[in-house]
Amino acid sequence: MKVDLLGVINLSGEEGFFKELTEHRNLAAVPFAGRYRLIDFTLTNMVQNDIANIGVFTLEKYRGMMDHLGSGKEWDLDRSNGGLYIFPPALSQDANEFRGDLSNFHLHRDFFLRSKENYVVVSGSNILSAVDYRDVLREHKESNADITVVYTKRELPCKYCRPIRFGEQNRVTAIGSRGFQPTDETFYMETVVLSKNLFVRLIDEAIARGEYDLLQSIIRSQLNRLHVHGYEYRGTSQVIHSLRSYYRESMLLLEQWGAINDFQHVYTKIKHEPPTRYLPGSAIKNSLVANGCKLEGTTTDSILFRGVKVGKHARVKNSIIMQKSVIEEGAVVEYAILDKEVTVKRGQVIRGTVEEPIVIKKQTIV
Amino acid sequence: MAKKNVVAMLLAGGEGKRLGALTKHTAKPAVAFGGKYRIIDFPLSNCTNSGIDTVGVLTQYEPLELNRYLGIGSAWDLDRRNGGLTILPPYQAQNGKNWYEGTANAIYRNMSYINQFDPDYVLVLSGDHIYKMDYEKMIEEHRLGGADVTISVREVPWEEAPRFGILNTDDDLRINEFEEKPENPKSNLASMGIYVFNWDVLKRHLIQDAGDAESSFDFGKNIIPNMLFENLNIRAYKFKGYWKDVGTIQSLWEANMDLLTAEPEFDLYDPSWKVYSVNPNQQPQYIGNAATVESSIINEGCHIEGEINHSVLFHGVEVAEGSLVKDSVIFPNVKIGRDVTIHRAILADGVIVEDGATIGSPDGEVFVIEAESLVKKNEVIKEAIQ
Repeated sequence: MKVDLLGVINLSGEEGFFKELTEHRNLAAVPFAGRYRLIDFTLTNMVQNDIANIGVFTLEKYRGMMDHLGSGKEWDLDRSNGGLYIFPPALSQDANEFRGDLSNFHLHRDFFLRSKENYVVVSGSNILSAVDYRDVLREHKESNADITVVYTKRELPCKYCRPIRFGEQNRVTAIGSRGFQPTDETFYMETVVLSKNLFVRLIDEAIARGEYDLLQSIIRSQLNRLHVHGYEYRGTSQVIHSLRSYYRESMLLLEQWGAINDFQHVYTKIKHEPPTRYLPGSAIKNSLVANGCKLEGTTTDSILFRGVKVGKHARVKNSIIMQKSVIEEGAVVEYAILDKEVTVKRGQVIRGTVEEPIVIKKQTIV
Repeated sequence: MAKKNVVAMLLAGGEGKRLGALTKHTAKPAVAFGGKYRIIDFPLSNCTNSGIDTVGVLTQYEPLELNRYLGIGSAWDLDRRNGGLTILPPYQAQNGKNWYEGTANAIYRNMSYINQFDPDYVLVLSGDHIYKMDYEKMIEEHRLGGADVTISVREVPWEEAPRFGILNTDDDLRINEFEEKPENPKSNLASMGIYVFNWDVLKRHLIQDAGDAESSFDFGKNIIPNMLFENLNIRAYKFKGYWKDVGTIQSLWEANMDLLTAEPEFDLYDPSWKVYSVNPNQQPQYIGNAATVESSIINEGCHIEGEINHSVLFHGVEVAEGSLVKDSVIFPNVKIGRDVTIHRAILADGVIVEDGATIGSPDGEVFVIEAESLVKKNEVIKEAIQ
């Protein structure tokens, strides 16, 4: 069934929190869980909620992401009506300075004006969750709110999350800064629902005032003026904000696999890789393995992306090995993140620690 | 429609009786192979990799699964504005004709499909072999040799030649005789059922054959012998490389096992000749703490806690702790419980094996567990179920 929501994935507000993996790509394109990129999770979630008109607003280093998304076919978004739109910043020669995510929305405001949907959901790409956007919209309408923001409770402190405070009836009173009060338990999930007309009006007003930040100008500065409602998301979520949280959430996948995680429905780009080959002598334990790998050595507690090779007597432990990386005979990789197409030569040793996993840059030969 | 140099016609209507339970509700070309593929992926990928973008797929027997799998041909890059993949089922005509009555009849009934593209050559393929072949090279040789027909052949061991359709040629590879399963073969060149025809020549012969009340409307039995009788220039094209007829349970199992050798002759991993298939969109495979996996190929979406040795696992297979899967082929979405032992078996789609069951024996005959069936707790199955 159709849902009256226009999807917006806002990447222009996302900072490169961990430069090692985002030197060549934006955060949305960071590979995750063996065969996905971070953006797959939000995009799939929108599609699963029957949102059929989605704009991805990007800022920089978006080549990899564009290649990944293509026409949106894998997400069923190659449509004559709506579908997937990718909006790189609309820069002009005389004003080529990026001022904030709102300017990106403003420059592409025709996307909002032309779409038939009456409501907009804006989300980032680095919080992986299964927010039911239909339910958010329902609660948004029922509470007669002007703006609804999605929050979640977390037992673990989240250094990079924004704490959120409420008054009566879940009316939002404040949204803090990242890392401001790590003892807080309720966090903003960088997801907001509001009517399209209000959204466009607030963007126009903010731009007229010379303001360019979505969170500051559209939410925080309106808290006293408009009714900003909080919607509680009760499911699980993974927040990927730093190299450490990326590594930790990846390792958590292995601990919980089969119990909580179900990525069966997550769409991603098809690569036509053959199944993975396990050769004589291979020993694999507690690992997530994508297709197209050729495994001869020992791999434990690790995530192997598509087309990885682990040679004879090589040992991979507590590591994340990205697409088409090769660990040659007898090499050892422990507590490490190998970006795409890294080669670890025969007998070489790469060893990090749980707290400080070593990151090897894309296409490096060690 | 714009003119095409080549139109491929893929015969995919066969029942595949010798595959037993595997083709009970599925056409043979849709039978699973190699952990991820269906048999038809190989000729279709060959077409794509050979630059042939116009493929008619002739269906007849149990077409539902095959049709669903083929879709509009997107998986093989055959969703094209001009040409692309077209499913050609039998249809009712004014003369009362209904089902396809033979391989040649199936093509004859679809002459208007081919005519739209006004091709120079028609490539006739079948959907029951595992191989990689650059059809473009065969067509090029056909063209250079000024042939009317070219038939792809491979050399088989002399002692096996009586099992095949054998083509006798002169030194120049011009075919002068076709013998079906000859007792005393004069050559060891076996036909692979892959033909290149000049379209005008084939068209004339199809029309002629259709008017012959005695004919069984078959390429091997009628069309080729008639062409030989007419003394047309029919040439053999020697193919070298892996080629396997997977028409029986034993040969299908063997072809799967062939993929598990240290350096398989049939390389699925060659980036210059990718084999395309419909992607079931599965999560990565998870190999658990208690698992042992060796000498096997495993597809996405599997969850393995037991021991997998020398086996092929398709997507979505679950194997619980304490179980052993050896020398077997496990089709998609099979669930295997704890302490199960499986030897030399093909478990078709969606089979459920409960705890403690035993299937097959280490040196027994290879057999099939039918799709969607249930193997009960502690049940022992050592004989083939017919």
